[in-house]
Parts: sequence; C-alpha cells; structure tokens
Amino acid sequence: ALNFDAASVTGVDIDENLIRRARSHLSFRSSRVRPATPETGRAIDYFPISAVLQHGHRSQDLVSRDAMAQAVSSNSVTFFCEDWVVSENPATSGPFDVLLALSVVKWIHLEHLDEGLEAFFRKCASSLVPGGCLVLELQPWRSYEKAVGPKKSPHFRENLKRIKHRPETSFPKLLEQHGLFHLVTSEELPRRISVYRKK
Amino acid sequence: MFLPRVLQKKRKPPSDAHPELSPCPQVTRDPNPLTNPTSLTREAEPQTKRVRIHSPDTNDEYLEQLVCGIELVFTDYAYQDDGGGAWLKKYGRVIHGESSYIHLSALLIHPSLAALKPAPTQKTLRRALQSFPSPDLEITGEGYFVRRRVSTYPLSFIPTDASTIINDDGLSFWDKRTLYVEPHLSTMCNKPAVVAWWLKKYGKLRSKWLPIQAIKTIAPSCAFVVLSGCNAKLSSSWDRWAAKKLPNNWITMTKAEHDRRTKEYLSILNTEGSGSPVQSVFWRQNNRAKENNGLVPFLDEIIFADAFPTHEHTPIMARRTTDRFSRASASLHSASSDNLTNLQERHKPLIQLVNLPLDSSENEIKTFVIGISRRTSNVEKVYYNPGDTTAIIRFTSVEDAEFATRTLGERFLKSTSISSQVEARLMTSVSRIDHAGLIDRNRDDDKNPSETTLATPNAASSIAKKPRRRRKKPKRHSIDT
Repeated sequence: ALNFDAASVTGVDIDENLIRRARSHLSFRSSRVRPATPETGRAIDYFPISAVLQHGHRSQDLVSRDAMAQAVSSNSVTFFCEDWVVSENPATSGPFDVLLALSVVKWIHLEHLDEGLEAFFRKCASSLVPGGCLVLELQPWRSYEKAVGPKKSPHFRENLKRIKHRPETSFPKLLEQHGLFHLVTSEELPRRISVYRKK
Repeated sequence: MFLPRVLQKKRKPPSDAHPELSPCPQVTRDPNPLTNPTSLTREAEPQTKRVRIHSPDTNDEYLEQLVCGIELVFTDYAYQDDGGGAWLKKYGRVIHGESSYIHLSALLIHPSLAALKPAPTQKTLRRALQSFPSPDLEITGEGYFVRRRVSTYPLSFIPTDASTIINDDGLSFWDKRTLYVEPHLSTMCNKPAVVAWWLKKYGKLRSKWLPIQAIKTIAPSCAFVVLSGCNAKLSSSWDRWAAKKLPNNWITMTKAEHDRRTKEYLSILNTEGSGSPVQSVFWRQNNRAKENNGLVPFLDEIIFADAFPTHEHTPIMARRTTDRFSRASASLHSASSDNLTNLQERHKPLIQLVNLPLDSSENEIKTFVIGISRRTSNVEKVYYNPGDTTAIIRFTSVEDAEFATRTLGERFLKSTSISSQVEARLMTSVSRIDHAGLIDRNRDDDKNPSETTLATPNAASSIAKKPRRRRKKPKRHSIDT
C-alpha cells in the first residue's frame, strides 16, 4: 500500500495470527511515513526504524487523518480473517484490480481439494475487473508432499491422496478455463511468480 | 549408486533477487596445504563431490565474511572502547615473545562472529585467514593465533582519545564518522560481520573511509556503522556517495541526520500524544546497560496481560498469575524485610512486571507504575531485587491493578487501532514479539473474558508441578547367532 501508493488494499487470511501480524506491520510502516509539508511531499520510510522502536508507533487514526487532511492517498488498508474461498463477505469479493496469491494455493488445495481449487480460481476471476491481474506464487508438487509430513500438517495426508490436479501441469489449463490467461513469469525469486490477466 | 539420504539434500538455487549478489563462485583454489581440502563446488558432478556430512557450507563469501568479522575485533575503535579493549586484554596471549595474539577459539565467542550461520569453527576461521589474508592482520605459523599487525596500529589519523573529543555540535570524533544503515534484509544487523562485508563489497566505500571500525547493532534491522574517514558534515564526498544509493535497497544516513529525524518523530508523537514515553525510559536504560557491559539486552520477549492486548513494542507488561507470585515470593522473601507470606493473607492484588532493564531501581519502577496509573495512592509496595528483571507490585485494590494494566494496554491499542473483534480474541492469548514486529504466538487455553484474571493471592494455592518425564529404556536388539 505504501510503496506503490495503492488506493485500497484488502488482506485476507484464514489465520488470525497472520492478520494480527499484518496489522502490526502496517502500524509500524505507517509510523515511519513523514507527513507531507508545504515544502515537501510525503516520504515513505523516512523516520528511522530505531526511532519507531524506541518511541512507539503513531496513532493510526491520526495517521489516516493526516493523509485525508493533506488530500493524499489515505492508503486504506483493511484485513479480514476468513476463508476467502467459501466466504460471501462483500468486502472481500471485489472487484479488484490486482489479486495476490503468494504461497497460499497449496493450502487451499489441500484444504478444499480439487473442487476447492477450481472454486478459488473461479472466485479470482469473478473478483477481478476486466483486464485485472492475478499474481500467483505456486508451490511445486514436492512442496505438497513435504507439507503433509509428520512435523507439519499430517492431517492433510488423506486429502493429498485424493488430489488429482498438479500445479505444474493442470493449473494453467484450469486458469484458462476461468478466463485467466498467462501474461508473464519471473524466475527472479526462489519460487516462480506468474501473472495471469483476465480478459 | 546408492547415496544416503543426507547426501541427496537438494540445494536451494542461487537467489537472483538482489542484483549485486553474484552467483557463488567455484571454490577451486586451495594452494595452502594446511587448509582443509574437502570443499564443494557448485558445478561439480554429484559423483565427484566429496561431502563431509558434519562440515558447514563454506563458500568464498562466507570466508570473506569471517575475515571481516575478525577485522572488526582488532580495530582502533575496539582497542579504545572499554568493552572491546577489555576483551582484547582478557584474551590476549604472548606467542614466541610477541604479545596481543588472540586464539581462534576466543574469536568464536566474540559478538562479531558468534551470530554467523553456519557457526564458525577454528578450522573455518583458519581457512578464511589463509584464503583471504587481511593486510591488517597477521597469524602465527600454525595459524591458530591472530593479531593486528603492529605496523598498522594505531592508525595515524585517529587520535588516541577519540571518544573524548567533542566538537561544537556535540558530536564526538566517532559520531562524525558514523552512519546509520537499514539493510535490505531485516535481520542482517544481528551479524555485524555480514553488514561489514556487504558494505565493503557492494557499498563502494571510499578507501579513505576504510577500514570499518565498528558495527553497533541497534536492532536486527538497523545498526550504526563507524568508519575511519568520512566526516560527512565537511566532506562533499559523502554527498556523492549518498547519491549513488548503495548498497541497493539499503537506507543510509549520517548519525547526525538520524538524530535529527528521530527528534522530528518525537515531536510528532508529543503533538499527537501517542507513542510510548515508558518505552523511551526503558530504551535509554537498556542502552546505558549496553554501553556498560557490551551486552545488547534488547527486549525481545513481551508477555501480554491476559485480559488486554498490548502494543508489540511494549517493553514490559503485567502478568497476573498466582503461581508466579508464589515463586517470586519465595525468592524475594530472603531479600525483603517485609514478610511476604502475610501478603497471601491480605488478599491484595499483585502484578508482576517482566523484562525490566538490569539497572532498574525500586524508585524507578514505582514511578513508572504510578505514572501509567496516574494515581499515587494505588501502589502499596514494590518488591524488587536490584539486578533482577522482574518485580512484583502490590496494589491497594483490584480496581487499581486492573486500571494500571488496562492503561498499559490501551495506550498502545490506540496506536495500533486494533478492532474490538480482534481485541476480544486477543483477550485469551499470550504472545511473544520480536524486534522486527513479528508475532510468534503461544496460545494459552481459552479463558472466559468476563472473568477477572487478577491473581488474588490465596494461601491455599500451590504451584502445579509438571509430571516428571521418565527416561525410556534403550531398546535392546537381539542378535541372531
């Protein structure tokens, strides 16, 4: 939200731990922003990390009020703790310009099986505006096998046996069936990032 | 050919996320017969690999980082610093009539090297010093002792009493040569050797600014870097270097600029009435302790009160448990003249404060608690042993104790804007926060939020003991003859 000056960002996760961490981090990053002055614009990551750690965060209500008063993007950021695949919350149903699904598809697949995966892709397509983009960071199949190990999530072992779709072979076709076509892929990071665009 | 599973471990592909990070070069050079010849090359075929199962992955970058870490031990700053100088004096040895040699085993526990991953060993240190010899260091023939080259100490342009020289702006000699850095990795500053190496390799520092004198970690994500040269206020070379914005994705500024921005941030907080003055008090106390004994007692464990969630960076929190009071009373009983066992009969509410700075005093703690509760009559007694990190506060009433705990929580709730729904869920949890703001949660059993969670001492209460785990007998395998 801050780095790319997005007008609005909606974060969804099934894990309330992660939602709390996200809120904390937003508060931390917002506190580092220098409000715009008559001479200078708003500056991201202006105040040192040490200052925020030493003296505490700014009040987020006042941070938002600052942004509104200066007629700059208030970077509305909201978080919801829910299972997005089955949720009917209108606040998280879009439409959105960009959807990010980074390292979550595996868990959706293991939780909701092939039907859930298709429902996820269907919902991604319906939640995007025409021309909107879906950014996917897919986990490879060996990651699925590691995920059901005894020290991780062994309760998904039965579900793993029932899964037929494979990320390397099935996913591009599934996405195309729902109107999401491959745009570009990047290998810069350890895991491949692919961008699909809705027609 | 059969290979044990441990040898089949897949290596992570080299990350190209950081454009300056060149692919790990092939380790082919090994001219010194004293060095360990068993090293891996990334391009070698699996059949030609000779893998030692228990040796760390030692590539050229890691060895260079080790050398950078060793150099930080022997800088002029280290010699002049009370903590660094004392360390060098303590571990210095005379070898063949030459003094000030440090054995490699002592370097393993030095803060500049101790946090490296994988953990260095004497062999890797020796290999590093022989593979990438430093112009400022010399090693003995066997390679297990190292010291600063006598001809290089002290550096001619560094006065012997550098820390006492203060200019008109209130900056010391070293402050004028100090940079504040925020590296691209949020935990890099835990490893001073890596910070120094990264700056030297990718920072394109001017030769006059080297050697790097010290890396002073503030938090895992930020540090002060003390250089040899670079008087940023007088020199235009700093402006030219800063304009390059190197290393990539780092935030760098002079210490003077850092202090200015911190003051500006503080003034915004004072205007808004947000932030944490309590945190400031104990941050300052922590830094004082750090300067005194060289330790970095960063408050990385925060216990939340059961009923009220708090800000992630709250340095201390109240924890109300009957069993902790019982343990604390046993340890404090001998120190305090007051008979703590009588407390249990009085049924006055107690709060335990944890993660206090080591040099706290009873008066400071009482002032702090009165300050957050804004009433002077509610704190009946403070039980605290100097040098301890916990204290027990006895309040006059349950309401006072609840009010104090709520104030600690609400003050930071405002700044984080946690919704009431989340607040209700957080009421049943206990969390641990690290410096970078990440939360690692250790969930307690769910409690009824409507119940008061204050610990009212009960004379009949006893500490629930954990069942003792029995050691399993080793299995005996029968051998078929």
